[in-house]
Amino acid sequence: MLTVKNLNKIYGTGEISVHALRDVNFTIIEGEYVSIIGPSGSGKSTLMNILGCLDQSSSGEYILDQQSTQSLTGKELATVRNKKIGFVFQSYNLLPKLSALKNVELSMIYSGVPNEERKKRAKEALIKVGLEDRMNHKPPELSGGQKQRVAIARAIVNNPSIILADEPTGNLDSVSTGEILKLFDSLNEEGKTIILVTHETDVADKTKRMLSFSDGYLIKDEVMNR
Amino acid sequence: MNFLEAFYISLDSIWSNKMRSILTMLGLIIGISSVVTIISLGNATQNTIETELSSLGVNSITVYLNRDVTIKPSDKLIHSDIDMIEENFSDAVMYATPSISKGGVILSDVSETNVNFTAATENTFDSENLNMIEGRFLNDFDSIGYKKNIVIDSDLATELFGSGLATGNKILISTGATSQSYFVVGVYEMKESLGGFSTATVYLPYTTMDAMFNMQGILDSLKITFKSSVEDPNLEIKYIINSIERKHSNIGEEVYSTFSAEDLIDTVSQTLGLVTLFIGAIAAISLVVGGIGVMNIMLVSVTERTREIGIRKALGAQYTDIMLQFLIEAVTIAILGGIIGSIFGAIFTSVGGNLMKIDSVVSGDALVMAVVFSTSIGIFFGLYPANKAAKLDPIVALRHE
Repeated sequence: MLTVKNLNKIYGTGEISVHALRDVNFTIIEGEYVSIIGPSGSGKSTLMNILGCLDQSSSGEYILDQQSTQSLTGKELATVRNKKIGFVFQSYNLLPKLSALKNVELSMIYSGVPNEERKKRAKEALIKVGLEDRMNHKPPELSGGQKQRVAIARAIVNNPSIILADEPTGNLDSVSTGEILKLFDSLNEEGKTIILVTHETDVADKTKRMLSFSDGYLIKDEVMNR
Repeated sequence: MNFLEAFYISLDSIWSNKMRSILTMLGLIIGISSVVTIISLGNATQNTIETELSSLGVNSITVYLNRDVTIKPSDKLIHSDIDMIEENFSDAVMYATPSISKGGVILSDVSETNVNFTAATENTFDSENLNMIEGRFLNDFDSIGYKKNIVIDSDLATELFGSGLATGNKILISTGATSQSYFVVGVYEMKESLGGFSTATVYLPYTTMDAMFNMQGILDSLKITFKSSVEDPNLEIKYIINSIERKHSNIGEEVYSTFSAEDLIDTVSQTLGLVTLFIGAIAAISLVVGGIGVMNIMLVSVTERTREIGIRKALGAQYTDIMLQFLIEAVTIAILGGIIGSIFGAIFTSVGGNLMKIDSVVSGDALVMAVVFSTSIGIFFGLYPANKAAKLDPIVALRHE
């Protein structure tokens, strides 16, 4: 469902160029729960941007759902992001002036889902993450764990192929971290493909497969025994 | 994303930054309200002046001696010209009236009043648009009989006879060496004059006046009133002038000039129109300044909301979605400013109209122009910030603090 072949990413040109990813190869199949781990500067954020179709590689191939993303235009990439990718960010990235419900509706606005259905699906997603009584609260009125759950609801509402979580527990206390990871577990059990980028091994330990990066190389690809 | 969604998002954003939105609109409100006020009041003034001038008689043309050429005694307009015109051009001409005006004094027990003596025929009543408030106007019998009858205006009547009736009284008029007694047969209504103060005009039978000043039939000028069926008096007058010239044997010497109220209206309208346009154009500069204000705030807004733009892009917003969102926001601010400005413009117009004592109506043109203008300003000055927002790289935008 997702294949990366000889992926390279070079920022800048000539002497000052930075080789962020070097000949990365891996495949993730539907329903996997994968962590991408590595220290800062290991290239994991770059990989995350490319997997999330926010950026394109310098060379190599990234195939998502049998579709090569290498030659897509900005407009087509936006459509891929909208339909196939659900983002969860470390800093939540919710729009502070919109209610939880409105925030969850956002991606559906851009995919042209009619108003009624949009509301219905947003409510369902919020119920799924356990926020049925916080739907009309705005982000500043929510705790960190609740904000991240809104973000997860937003990520799953458009039924994407993969959920890309970038340090989703980085700003959370241990209790909230546990809750969020449990939520990812249950989503994975439902069959959702989840890629979780982190630098914390405790978090990576909760996933089923770990891709370790260092200096732009994929150095280890191990299946976790849980 | 459809247009309506973009509109809601824009309204949300304008609403959540109320103070800033209002301040941004202020420039446009001031600009639009002043343009609307100036154009509306300009049009109203023009209408008022046109109406007042039309009361002078749109359908009449005055023939007078050209002051730029040397006049021979034989060139002078005389009373028989009037008979000639009324006879030969009876199809087009309703009547022609002589115009002779001389200064003189009315003597009373206690005072002397300067007046203009003006020669009149029966038709002068219509051609000068007079209204009698007492008695009657002069008629043909007065002329034929060289009667010493006089018609005075209401102000003079009050001055001479207080609140009582003027008609039936005798007054003494003096024309230098001699003074004679005249009989007041009527009082006409004094019109509000454009110029404000002016010397009172009193009417005498033209024959009486001719004799009094020993004019021997010579006129200052003559006024021709055309039938309403005549479409172009200016064309007709050419034939009339031609036949006057033939009568005086001075064809082609350009001894006679003409003047019509229509000429005056045209000149005044044109001048006023230009002045209005000029002041309006100056006011329109404030619109441009207002537009720059819109652009400024939109640029601030784009910078402030860089992260929001990043989030929206990550969630699948395309170039056109972001473009539309910010453009609609700019246009909405501009149009709201335009509407509020128009309302203020309407208020200023009616207040100004009251102060200037003219019938002021908010000009529809000005309102349409206000809306079209503010929309164009929103689009023109919103395009650059909106493009800047839509072009943002999502990764950079998401990292923005």
